[in-house]
Amino acid sequence: MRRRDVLKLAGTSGLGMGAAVAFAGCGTPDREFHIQSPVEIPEDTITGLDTWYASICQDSGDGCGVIVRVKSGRARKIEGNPDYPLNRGKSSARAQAALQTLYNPDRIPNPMIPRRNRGSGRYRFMRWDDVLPDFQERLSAAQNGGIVMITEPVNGHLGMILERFTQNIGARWLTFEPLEQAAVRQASAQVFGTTRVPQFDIANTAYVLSIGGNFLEGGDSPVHYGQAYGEFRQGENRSRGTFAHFDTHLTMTAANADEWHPVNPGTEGILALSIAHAVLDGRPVPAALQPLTGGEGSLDAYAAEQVADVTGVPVEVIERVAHDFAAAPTAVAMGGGSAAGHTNGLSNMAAIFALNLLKGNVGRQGGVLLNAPSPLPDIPAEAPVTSYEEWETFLSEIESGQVPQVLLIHGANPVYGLPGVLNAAGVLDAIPYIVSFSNVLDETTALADLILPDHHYLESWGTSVPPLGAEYSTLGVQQPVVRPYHQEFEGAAGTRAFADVLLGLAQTLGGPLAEALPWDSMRDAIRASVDELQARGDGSVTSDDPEVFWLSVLQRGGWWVASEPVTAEAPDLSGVPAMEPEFSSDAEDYPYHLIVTPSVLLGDGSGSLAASPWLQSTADPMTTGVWGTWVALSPKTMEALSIQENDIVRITSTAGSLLAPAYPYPGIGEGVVSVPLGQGHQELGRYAENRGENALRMLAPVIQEQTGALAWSATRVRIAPTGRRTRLPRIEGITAPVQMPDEKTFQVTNETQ
Amino acid sequence: MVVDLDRCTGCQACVVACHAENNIALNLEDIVLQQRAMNWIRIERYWEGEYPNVKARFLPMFCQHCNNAPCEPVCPVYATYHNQEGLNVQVYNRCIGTRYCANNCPYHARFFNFWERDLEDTHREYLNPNVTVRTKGIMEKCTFCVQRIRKSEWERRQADEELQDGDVAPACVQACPTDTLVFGNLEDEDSRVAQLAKNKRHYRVMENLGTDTNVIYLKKVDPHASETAPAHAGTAASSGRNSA
Repeated sequence: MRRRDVLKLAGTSGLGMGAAVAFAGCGTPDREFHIQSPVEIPEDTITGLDTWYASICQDSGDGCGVIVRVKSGRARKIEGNPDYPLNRGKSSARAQAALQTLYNPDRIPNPMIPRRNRGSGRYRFMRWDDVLPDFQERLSAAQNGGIVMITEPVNGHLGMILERFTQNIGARWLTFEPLEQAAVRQASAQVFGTTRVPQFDIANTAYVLSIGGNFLEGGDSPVHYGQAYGEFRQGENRSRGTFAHFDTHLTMTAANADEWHPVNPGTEGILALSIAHAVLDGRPVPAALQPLTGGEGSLDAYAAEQVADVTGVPVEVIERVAHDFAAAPTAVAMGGGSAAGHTNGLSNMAAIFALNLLKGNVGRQGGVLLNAPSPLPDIPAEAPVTSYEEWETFLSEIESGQVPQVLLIHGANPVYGLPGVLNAAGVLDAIPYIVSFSNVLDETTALADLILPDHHYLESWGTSVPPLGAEYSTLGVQQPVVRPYHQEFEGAAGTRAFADVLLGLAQTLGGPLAEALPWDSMRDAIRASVDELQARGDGSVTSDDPEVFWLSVLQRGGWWVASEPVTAEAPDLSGVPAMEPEFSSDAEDYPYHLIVTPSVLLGDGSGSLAASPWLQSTADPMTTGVWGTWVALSPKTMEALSIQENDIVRITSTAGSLLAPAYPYPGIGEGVVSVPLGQGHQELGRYAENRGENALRMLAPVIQEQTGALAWSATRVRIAPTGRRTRLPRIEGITAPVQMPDEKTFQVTNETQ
Repeated sequence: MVVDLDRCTGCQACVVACHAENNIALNLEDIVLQQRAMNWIRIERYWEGEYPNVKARFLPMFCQHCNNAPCEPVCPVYATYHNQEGLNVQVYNRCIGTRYCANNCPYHARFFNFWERDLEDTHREYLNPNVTVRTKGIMEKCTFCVQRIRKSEWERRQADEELQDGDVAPACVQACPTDTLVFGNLEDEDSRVAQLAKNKRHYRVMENLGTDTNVIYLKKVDPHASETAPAHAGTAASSGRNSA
């Protein structure tokens, strides 16, 4: 066909079918035309202008305040909310990456039911109206005893709704936290009288002593503590703070300490008591602390010389750190991390926190500040957490035949996160009707008979009471910043907010349930609470007009009011004498301690963070590893076992094993192995599935007696080379090192100011 | 830009913020394995010393916007040049992909697009409309978020005002929780960067090359530096490539 013919053809067919066929091969690709229909764009959108909406980030784990740039109806960028008291304009890698959990190509767009049988992996899309009546019928039949609800630990309005919903429908409510922090919370309750872990005021303190407390990468709010850390180091109008850290290996937080010392796993509490002994320097033990010593009245058994061998910390280090801690004008003692995951986690944490009592810094600037309460009495600030022991009971009850009729799951992934020995997938499979509200197909959702996908948090309403905040009593408000990406439209199915589905069910089922949850939607519930706040007439937003008040609260990202300092209750340390740790097995067969380490990017693997290619491809701060799991080993251990870098090794515990490449980690002792968490998903979409290993599966089921939590640091393992090799993708080495032998690019000074 | 190494914790917030702001290609696994991953800003980690006195140091590294930039004279098509504000600028539609500039950059801050961008449709939704999506064969690097600089200038101009210190924050600076990164006009005596640049801890990376960078680092403070290393000089027992 000649050019002239083509034009002729186009002309004669009136640019109709003929032209379309003739040009089909050389047209603009379809994706170039993939633009958004103006019909779906919210009416306040002006093309070319961006709008910023304030909300709350649910991906980063601490509910930090964010502002989201929305242009042409799509979220384009997330920044920290400069007004929000918790994070004051700052954000984290996880908060930034929420765009990719929102626009995740593997999100579930519609309600789904499995084709043929459960777990077949193939689904049929449904419409809400087609699935809801059957769902309601089953719920209604199973009321008062036959329903189990599993969620993530959640506070704010969703926490309140879940509590009322489960109570009034007679359901059992379980929440799942993979690396349980029960020891930290209970120690906090016994030492400071509050189960909400207090805010350590490191921005204003002169000395931070941290035993396992990885506040820069995990803990309550890495963003908040990151900001405080910047102040602590080089803040204006203060001298540079000093930071001593003890941990089983050199974590990111440890790398930022002025001095880091390895401590034997499980002996953190003994170390803390030894520091207390040196701080007291012959003075009698205060009565409040005596239970820690087992009622001895003296800490002489913990003198540095006595415990140096057990803890692995040299005598002079204990004495120097204790001296520095005591001599500093202000100091805080922080704890957490793997120290809280031992069988003696509670006594470890209690002993560490009790150092603050010796320092007398509770309630003082530069010390330990207790969190302000939730501004509304019926909106919980704390999320209830189901202990591992209760999980074990729940699963064994099912095995023994007490099978609930309906299981509802939202935001939690116990099949992925519970130790493999519990065989959660196999046991839960006995439940005849499982409904998941997840918007990604995770391991637990794969068991479901009905999937009712939730909106992303950037598309839905919610609230949050921040985990830290002594100065302000805060209610952060999460508002939809964009229309749902998978929108219900003219009968076409889409996603629906979990809370709205629950509220709708409550109305349909009626009775006391409908009375307890009288709102039509989450928005209405929040609006009712915000109206209550307006009546107070104080705080960050005030207005006589409820509508103006409501809009201003949304604009600011929440409401907060300066709080009176909360006073600590008298410590009650009964029942937490210093204990030796117990481990899953003996040192002969299993010579290494397994320390599972939450990733600063992927967390502990719960949620859908692993579905974000940004988080997957961003370097782990210490190893620069990406897209996989590695085993961090001491170079000496590797030499002893004839393991080279990138050799695949098998780590075996009494409860399971995993295969991953070895990484020579200069900051780890010979008896310790560290494995990052977050990978090893069987499901969760193209970026996460079948990638790396999930170390949570191989944890031995050792329980902390006092809290009922899983002792997730108590697993011992053995290591064996497999003879196979692989290449761990790493960012390190992609560019040649900038540091040349003759020119030091990284410079350090030992000036103290 | 001033980088206070004493504040940097290595948390990687800047890295993801940069990816989100600047439409940087996804570093999928095989791309990382081919050593062609792109990070306009990266956190270099240097190991120092031997266990148990081992230390890990973090150094944010990105285009240093050199006043005597080694990348500029080697570009045959003037795709990279120095603008009047001191920015080292990359003009994408001039670039013909010789990669001479990347070879000549001592900081390894320039990245080449070896592939056409292959984004999932849903991942197109969050692209920043103010930043070009680069195509195959183009060199790219940190721009100090020039789109944000231009936007702030425009906004001030609308109000008939001069640009103020603190008006512009590149994505990395805005995200950084610890305030490690500070951005501003070094020539404005009163600006925060100019003040910080006077700090006695200041230095430039690879100063001996005479690149005269526009990024000033403030040395990490370590009271125990003399125990593992001679004072006032970092000792990389191993560097970026060799980790152990």
